[in-house]
Parts: sequence; structure tokens; C-alpha cells
Amino acid sequence: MKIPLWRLAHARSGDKGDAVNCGVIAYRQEWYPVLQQYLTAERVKEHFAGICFGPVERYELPNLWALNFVLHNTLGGGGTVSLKLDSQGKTIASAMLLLELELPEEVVRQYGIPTQ
Amino acid sequence: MWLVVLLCGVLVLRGAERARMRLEGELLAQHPARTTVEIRSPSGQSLGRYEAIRLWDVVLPHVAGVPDSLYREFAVLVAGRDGRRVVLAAEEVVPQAGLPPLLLLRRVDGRIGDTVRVPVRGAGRVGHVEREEVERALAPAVRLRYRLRTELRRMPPLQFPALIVGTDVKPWRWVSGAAVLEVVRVAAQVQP
Repeated sequence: MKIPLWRLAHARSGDKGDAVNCGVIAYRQEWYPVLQQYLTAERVKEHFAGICFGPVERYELPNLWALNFVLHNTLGGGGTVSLKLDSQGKTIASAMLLLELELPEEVVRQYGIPTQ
Repeated sequence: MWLVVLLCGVLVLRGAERARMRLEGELLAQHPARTTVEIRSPSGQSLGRYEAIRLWDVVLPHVAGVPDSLYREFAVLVAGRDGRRVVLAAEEVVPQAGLPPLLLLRRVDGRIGDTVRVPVRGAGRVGHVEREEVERALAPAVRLRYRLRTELRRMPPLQFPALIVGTDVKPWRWVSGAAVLEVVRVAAQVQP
């Protein structure tokens, strides 16, 4: 079952040179393990294919129910050297929330994840 | 920005590095920093008047004495009665932020006219009025205009207290029925 990430979490993003730093924060404590298991660095890298040309690193922040992703080589050089409209990576958070997680139906039921 | 701190990986400290309080409606209703706010849409249309308090005024007791340079080490967590929780960086909450988040306490209707009537307490003591009565009478007077960047044509139905984050384009960090506030110190730790 495909569930858009925005049903489970909110996100904020910003730039650091050519890298984007994107925090994804679960709305509910019980949804954090779902993010831990299914929102992998590989899945994020796949979602940003054609945008992120470097590695994706993931950091866990269980106390905030949050995952932090660093997407390297994403901003065309970043800041003033970039020709991208969003040279500071502000919209990456919104793009991240459009990612669809492929979740088993029993997980959706067990954790009460909204489907609509 | 706190995300910059997260770049290096973080360690959330425990014990005294974490403060928690319940957002009791009655306590907030007596808070001296509350004011009356007119919420406006990005186009300037009035969306309603509310008694409100800046989130910062509730957070402040928990970070008193902390130098400004350390604000980036704090995250502010607000949870609703339904368990839904959102995270704000302290730097988004401080008054210096252009549009600091608000806790709406109740809807305020009506306008004040040319005359405001305030009950006088105590027989024969003309001129002795209670400050609370004056505040109540003047409550509908707007003291702050808060122009959202959030794309809304009307305010959604809210349970009070309600957190609104005017800087966000989407209202995803708004919390209807806010119940718990936590201030957490987040310290950077380079991952091995």
C-alpha cells in the first residue's frame, strides 16, 4: 500500500554548500519506527533521482522522532554559484513529503496510519 | 538554523536538558503576555480575531539565562491532545523571528465602540476599577496583526489552545488542541 510521507511526518530543509539537509519528523511516536524501517537512505536517493547526484546519509534522532538526511551534490554547486531556482534547498522538504512509502497493509492497520 | 546543527549528527541530552509542561487553558488564560490578534490571509483578508500568546512567552521560563548564541541548540516540541506532535527550532520561536508562532486561546468577537463600560467594584468607590475587568472589556481591540504566509482562505476549525505557525506555507505544523510543550536541548556531536 502506497502512503505519501506527508501523512506521517512534517519536514524542514536547508542548504549547506552543495548539500541539502532535510529533517523528517514523525507526527506520532508510534510512526517513528515505521519511518526508521521504510524511509531509508536508499529510498530517499531513489526519490531524488535526477536531483541528488551524490550519496545520501541518514541520521536518527529518536528523541525528536526524527530522521535527518544529508543529500550531497544536490544544489548545482549551491548558493550563488548555482543556476537552480532553489539554490538553498528550501523546497526539498516539500519534495521529500511527496515520497510514497510502500507499506504492508498490516503495518498500516497496526499503526493506525491514515490512508485518506 | 537547527538543521545545520543536525548536519553533524546530534545527541539529545536528558534530565535537566529537557523541560516539559502541560498547556493548561486556565493558566494560559491568566498569562500576562496574552494579547488580541487579528489573523490575516497572505492577501490581507481578515480571518478572525483571537486572544493569543506568543509561543515564546511560554517557552521563555525554560530557557531563561541561556545566551542568544545557544538558542540554536534548542528544539521546541508541541503535542496535541490526540498525541500528534510537531517540532520547531528555537530560532523559529524567538521574538526576533519575523512571524513568531502563536498559541491561540479563544476566539474574540465584536468590536469596541466609542464607550467601554467597566463595572466598578465597591459601593461609593468611584474610579476604582479592576484591571481584569478593563482587560476583558478591551479584549476585542486588536493589538497585533498577524499576516500569515500560509495559503488559507479561512481559518480551519480549531480547538484551543491552538498553535499556529504563520511562516509555514502549509499549515502542517499547526496543532489544534495543543496540550504539552517540551523544550529539548539538542547538542551537536560529530558521528564517528
